[in-house]
Amino acid sequence: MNELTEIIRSIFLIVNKLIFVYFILLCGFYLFLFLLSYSRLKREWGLHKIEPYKRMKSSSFTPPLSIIVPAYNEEAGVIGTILSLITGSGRLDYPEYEVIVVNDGSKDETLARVIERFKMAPVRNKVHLKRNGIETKPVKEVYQSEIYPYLYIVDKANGGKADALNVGINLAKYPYFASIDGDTVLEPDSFLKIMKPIVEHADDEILAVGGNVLIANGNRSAKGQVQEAKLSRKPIVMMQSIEYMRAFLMGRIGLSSRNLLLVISGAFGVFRTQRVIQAGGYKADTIGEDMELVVRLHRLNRELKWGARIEYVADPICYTEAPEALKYLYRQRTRWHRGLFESLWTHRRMMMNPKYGAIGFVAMPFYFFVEFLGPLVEFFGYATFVVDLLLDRVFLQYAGMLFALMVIYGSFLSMGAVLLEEWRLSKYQKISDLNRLLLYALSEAFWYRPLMTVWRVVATISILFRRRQGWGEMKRKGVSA
Amino acid sequence: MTFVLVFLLTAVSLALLATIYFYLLIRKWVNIRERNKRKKWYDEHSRAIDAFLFAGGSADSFVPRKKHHFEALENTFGDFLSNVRVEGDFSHFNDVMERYFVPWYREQLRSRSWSERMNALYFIHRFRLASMQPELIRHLSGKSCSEEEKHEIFLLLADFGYEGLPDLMGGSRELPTFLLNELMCRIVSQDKIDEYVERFEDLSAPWQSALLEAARELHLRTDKLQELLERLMSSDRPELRVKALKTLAALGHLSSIEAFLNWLETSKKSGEWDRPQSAGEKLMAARLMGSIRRERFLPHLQELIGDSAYGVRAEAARSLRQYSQGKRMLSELSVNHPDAYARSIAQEWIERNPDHE
Repeated sequence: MNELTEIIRSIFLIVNKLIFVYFILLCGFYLFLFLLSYSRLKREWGLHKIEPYKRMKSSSFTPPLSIIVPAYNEEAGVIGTILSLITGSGRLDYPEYEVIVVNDGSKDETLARVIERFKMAPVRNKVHLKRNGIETKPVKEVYQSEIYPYLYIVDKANGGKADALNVGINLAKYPYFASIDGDTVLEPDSFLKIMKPIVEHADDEILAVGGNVLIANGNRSAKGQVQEAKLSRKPIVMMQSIEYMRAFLMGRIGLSSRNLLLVISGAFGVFRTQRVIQAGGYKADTIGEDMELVVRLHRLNRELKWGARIEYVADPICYTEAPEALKYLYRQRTRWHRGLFESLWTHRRMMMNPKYGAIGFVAMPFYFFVEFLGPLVEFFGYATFVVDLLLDRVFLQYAGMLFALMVIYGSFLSMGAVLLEEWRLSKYQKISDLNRLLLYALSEAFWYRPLMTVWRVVATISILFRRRQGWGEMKRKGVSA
Repeated sequence: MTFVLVFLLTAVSLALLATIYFYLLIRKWVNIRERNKRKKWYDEHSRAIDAFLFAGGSADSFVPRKKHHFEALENTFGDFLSNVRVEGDFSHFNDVMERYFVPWYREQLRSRSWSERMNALYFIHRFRLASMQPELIRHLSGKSCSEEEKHEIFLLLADFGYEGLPDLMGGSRELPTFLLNELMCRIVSQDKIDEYVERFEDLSAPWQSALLEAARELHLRTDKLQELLERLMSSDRPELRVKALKTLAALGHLSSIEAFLNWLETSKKSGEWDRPQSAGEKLMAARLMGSIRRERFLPHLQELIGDSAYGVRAEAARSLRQYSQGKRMLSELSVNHPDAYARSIAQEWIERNPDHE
């Protein structure tokens, strides 16, 4: 019996040590990402916010853009999103574009509201629908606005977000398309900013560019435009604001500077139409269609030697509504976790495969061991702590110090992201905003992080049982009203 | 040992966290102070600035001396020049620019900060400060000059009509296509296009393409250019053939319809047009036949409307729609054409108006 206890004890010790090494490596990698983002954004700090984009705004050489807005039960936000793209003072500063809203068989009033508000009339002939040749669920009708001829809405049978995006790509007539969510609100110059790396890049072809996503809850908005960016008073939203800053400004900028970015948020990204068609469009039977497409583009880029890059830029901004209820946040996060797994699983042969260079040796392992397995490791860490505590085997000083490191290091990274935000965006200008961000960052390890860990572990278990989710419905208030 | 390591890491992280926090605290405080100072200074002088801009008043009461003065004026003047078309005598504005802003931008160009140097270049462009030319050329050879700065300076020098620009660019990396097109639109004009046409063969491939783009964009017309474009239709390089056809379609002129028809027949017979890579060329040929409408083009457009590439079919249908009898012909094609795709696209274009596309 004693021998068995000793073996279990030894195993626990070894696992603890492994977790510790994992933790240190993780800290090191995040620090590396922070330094990469730091050097890039430090250089851009103080760059004028309007002048660099004026040339593109007035040039006839700026490539035209198809903006695809997939919508499923978005009656609360869709009008605001369209307004933010086409009308009045909120009209995009982009020289030439078309807006294609794709109604994916919504059960609410999404289609009726758009038809009524923008005087949409059916386009009788639909030949052009399959011009780009991606197979989709049947299209019922295409409408064109009588007020804004560059605004279309496609009504189609429900087939999921990826299928809706593919319908939009089939209709798109321009060399680049942007995908934005139905509840997204953009700043008027966001498309000029997101297209800048594409038009002014000398060396490589750019396959896609991701933009920055900020939380809309708490903002003061009018006529489809955000008038003042404000932090929400709700703790759950506040934590998501910090999370988004960290993920976008630190993670994605850092990874993209080495062409290692595997995710461009479905909320706001621009793609080269021809390459996406060549890749077969979005994969319809997956949840994380945005990530899967980017991974596939990376794969084809290597296999077909396109010599292209996938970029991420910090200053084009879109605002999206974050879940305010735990129920919806839980659904969102479990959906994201499943999407992450599906993308990695679909392209598993890229993992540690020399053919794919740094994508195979750095990006894929990072997303698998850190993003996907991280919560399991963390959960195991909490579990062994509880077991040790029950068995009275905890060296409390050590455990306390380790926890303090977790709190402080996590807060350091969060504040680092706030620093990057200050340099490039400076949206939250009050000192009270900074104090609130620090306090919430310090509190993260006590409630938000364990919550996320548990949810993602649950998601991992549900992946094993293969339970599926759909569009990820959420009760929306509308962020642009 | 591990405990000590964790302790040290915690202490370092705490120090970093505190440093970032206090830095941000000071940064935000400074930002707010600067913003208030800028606003206060602008509010105090806004009447004089408006009078200066709109009525040619004196600038003596708002002479900029500090950074926030320059920033306030840059934004106001920049917005003014972007939104108002300046006519008549504006020399008082240029005097102020030369007296106060040129020395300021000279200083900014020597800054260690990349973004300050870039901002200076953007405003030199906005205010068209041609007297900065010697500093710009000098800055090009400086160690701190980044690729982005070089690109901006090349465009500025093109704006200022600097003659030695092609030599200056010789040693530099090629400009991105977008910027090269923009640059070419600044350096070629109706007077100068023939000069470039004459040495077309000596230009690099990206410069050749950019020249054709600029000729199309600026609608330049000369006999030499026309002759070059028609000759390039038979170039060995497909991208030049496409660009030449595109420019010809935009200019809307062919010196010989007969020669074009011969070229069309030769292209078809050579088998070159059976390759999917030729879609762009066929599309532009269809566009040209819609731009220069001739009865003899109609059979070729009727053929191209049944092409395997959607873009070619659509362009051929669009071109047919531009003929006076186009709608009737499309109606017939929508019923009689042997190809189902051709019938569909013809049907589609009966309803569409090419002027609104």
